[in-house]
Amino acid sequence: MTQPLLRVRELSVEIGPPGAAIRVVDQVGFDLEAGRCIGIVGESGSGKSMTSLSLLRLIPEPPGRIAAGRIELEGRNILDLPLSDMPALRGKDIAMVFQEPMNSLNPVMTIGAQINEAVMLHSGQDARARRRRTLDMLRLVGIPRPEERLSAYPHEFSGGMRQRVMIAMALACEPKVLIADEPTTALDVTIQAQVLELLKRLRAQLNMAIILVSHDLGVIADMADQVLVMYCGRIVESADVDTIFTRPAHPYTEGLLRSIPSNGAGGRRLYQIPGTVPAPQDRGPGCAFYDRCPKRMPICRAEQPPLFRIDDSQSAACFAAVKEAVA
Amino acid sequence: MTPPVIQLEGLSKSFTPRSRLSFGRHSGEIRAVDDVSFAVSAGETLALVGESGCGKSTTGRLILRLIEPSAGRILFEGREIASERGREMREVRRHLQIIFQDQFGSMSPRRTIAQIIAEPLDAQGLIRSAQHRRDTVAHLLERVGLSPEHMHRYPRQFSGGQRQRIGIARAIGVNPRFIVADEPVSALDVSVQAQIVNLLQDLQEEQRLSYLFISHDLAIVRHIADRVAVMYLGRIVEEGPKARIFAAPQHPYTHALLSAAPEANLAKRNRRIILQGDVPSPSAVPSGCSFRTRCPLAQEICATERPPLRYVAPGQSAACHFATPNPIAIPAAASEQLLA
Repeated sequence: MTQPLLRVRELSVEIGPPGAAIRVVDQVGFDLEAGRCIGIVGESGSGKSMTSLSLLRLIPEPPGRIAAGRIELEGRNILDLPLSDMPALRGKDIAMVFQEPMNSLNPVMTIGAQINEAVMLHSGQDARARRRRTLDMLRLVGIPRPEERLSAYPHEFSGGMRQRVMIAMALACEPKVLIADEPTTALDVTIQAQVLELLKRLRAQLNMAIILVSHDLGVIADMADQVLVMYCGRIVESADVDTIFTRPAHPYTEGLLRSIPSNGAGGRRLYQIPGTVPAPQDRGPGCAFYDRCPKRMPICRAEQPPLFRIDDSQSAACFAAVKEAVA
Repeated sequence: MTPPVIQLEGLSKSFTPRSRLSFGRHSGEIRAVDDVSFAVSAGETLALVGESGCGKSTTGRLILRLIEPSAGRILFEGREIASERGREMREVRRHLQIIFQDQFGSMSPRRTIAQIIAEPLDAQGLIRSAQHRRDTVAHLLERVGLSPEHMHRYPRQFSGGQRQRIGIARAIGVNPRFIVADEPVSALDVSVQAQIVNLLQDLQEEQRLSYLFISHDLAIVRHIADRVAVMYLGRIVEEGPKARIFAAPQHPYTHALLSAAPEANLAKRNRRIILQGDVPSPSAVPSGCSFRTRCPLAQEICATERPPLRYVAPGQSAACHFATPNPIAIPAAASEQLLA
């Protein structure tokens, strides 16, 4: 059997002092093959960004820590590596693009120097080769007149162009996995469409795997092959993209999809998931969605449902979904 | 016939950047809002859509006179208010309120919820006694779905969705006729968004409120609006009934904007038009039609003649030389086929 490019198992992240720690990511697991795109959706506080940060071991420590789990990149558990090996891996094997490029770019360094730095840190190329590579990257992400733009500073770029620079920098060392955490959330729709098109094209050209984190179900539907839905730190549903949008199994996924205006029954009122996300200290031993769930059963209060396999393309952490699937 | 609640006629706002701040560059006049006209009737929602910097928030603030217009008329129920001052303006303001995207930024962190909600009531001199104040605030909190017990808490003790409810309570306390809702749900999670949109619609029905709903989220606009106005670089490029705008947009920009929004409903996905480049700088607006630099239909005439906003179908007008009553066809080269 071939091993996947990235295999995550039972990954858990805690924040806070030992003993009083809050588990913000709880036993998350998935496989990612080269050239595929996994979308992670969830609302604020669902643990989706913490999951993506932990894949690069970027969780601020303390107060946070990766409490358990394995993150295997081509069979090698990166959690076993000394922290000093991580910088070499970041960017070269797994790279990341954040929501707000202005916070990630250095305002007093030119665009050219910043991309050049990324290339230099991961390859032994000489200055001329690095300059060529920097220009190639800017061209690849569709920045016009790259020779002139090399000496420009981040503030001279628009939001969409800055995000392209971030992507160019992330891709400079041809990472095997690109993590994009809300890459288009700060952008206007017409610019968002440009950046998503760019990511799709690069993924096909470079056979790169993408982990796309977003709260926007439209962006996920557009990009992802497989979708993970997170709620209160856990994966509550995992399915391929067509399945999740046409026949969601978990009541939370169903509620999320029904709350989107274009998906509603067309009536005047939008569907509302009752209640709010429970605070960590208010969660009982059972399913975190129990209080808000229209399909809850007595067992859901007492026991946390594991991620059940429903069929080849879909799993859901829900007792009711399993019952329906068996029936 | 009763006049519309709000009517704008040729409303404009220019900013002149001070030369010492422009780092020696050419400091031209920036027309943030340029010759904008529209009307909102009682109980109606007009959605104002467009990309960042197109002037939609400035338009909302101009109506409330939070910033002063450079030219044009603002009529509230037929009465010109663009030049009202002092007591008259305060009287008008009672009927015009605003809800912001970031409620946290519009609330003093050191005032309690009760104080914040009563602010407009105090300004209008509508509070008679301490008891009256408590009762009014309690009633308002209940109307927006919050518990009156919370009135002595501070803004930071609430979630984003709850703060949005508090902002709504503050706006409706003076029984306004017209509310500018400036991206009221953009910062909220999907499930919370649905709650706030439903609340806004319930209040509209109960009080026959009119909304200017400023948003970049077309899915929400499609749900909440009666009519839609599309802005680009300070001008309205298309306006019409929601059903027409979404089914048969006449301006290529509207077309592109609608097709660019990612669709979560797989059955509704369609051909996407990818616009090239960014919105031009408002200090260097292209000649003729300001959209021509990104337009897939642009011809020579577009560089020389600015298309006026003209009638294309009942209730619908568009500022494009090529607008017709039939759906426009964007050449296939400018768009790409989405998977399935």
